[in-house]
Amino acid sequence: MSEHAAKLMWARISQRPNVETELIDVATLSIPVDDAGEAVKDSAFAEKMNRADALVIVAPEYNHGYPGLLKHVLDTNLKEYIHKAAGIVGVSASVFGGARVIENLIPVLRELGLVTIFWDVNFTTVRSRFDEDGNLLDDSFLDIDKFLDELLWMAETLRYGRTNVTIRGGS
Amino acid sequence: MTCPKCGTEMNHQADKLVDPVTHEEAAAMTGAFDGVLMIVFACPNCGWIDSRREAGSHSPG
Repeated sequence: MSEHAAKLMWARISQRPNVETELIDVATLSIPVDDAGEAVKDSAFAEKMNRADALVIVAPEYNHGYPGLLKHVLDTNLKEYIHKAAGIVGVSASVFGGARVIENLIPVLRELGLVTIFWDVNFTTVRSRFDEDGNLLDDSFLDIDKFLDELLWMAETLRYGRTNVTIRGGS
Repeated sequence: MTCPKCGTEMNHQADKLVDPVTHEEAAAMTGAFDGVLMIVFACPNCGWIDSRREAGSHSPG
């Protein structure tokens, strides 16, 4: 069901002017599981992260946490994320809408150097939100525009900062 | 640092304390807050990100 949510988010982001976006399904990446971190970096995925100004992470909540595969994939990069914007979309079958996976992801993203925004999108009761073809049946409590307004502001501001503002003591 | 993609001088945008990944880096760690600094650069022309690593320290406040 989170795939439907991800496709909806991708469609809404694509409607924004001057934005280039791509939907990446972490399940399709060929990242080994016999090691972790940058030791198993996928060059194509890393290049996409390097080019990106922002990430929208659509995360299903399992047992109050994030999927291990998502963490495994995120851990394969580091410098590529530094001072880039990140927004989190929580997806769950319950009325909490992935609130707990969002809270659990925030410290991970912070350590990766990403800058999380204060708006989230919560797909509550996701099994009744979409039909079998992925069409949204119920848009209540989904303030996607506010989320994207903040994300794009943060992405533009951080891009300026990364490329123009030198860290104190920098060279 | 010069951008490997377009040759423009890159902006030093961040210093981040990171975990050691080699025996040499691990051996250089002398205390709880010593470690390896990732010096991160961004290209003002094409936006490319690159980095280098060096020994560093973080003084807790």
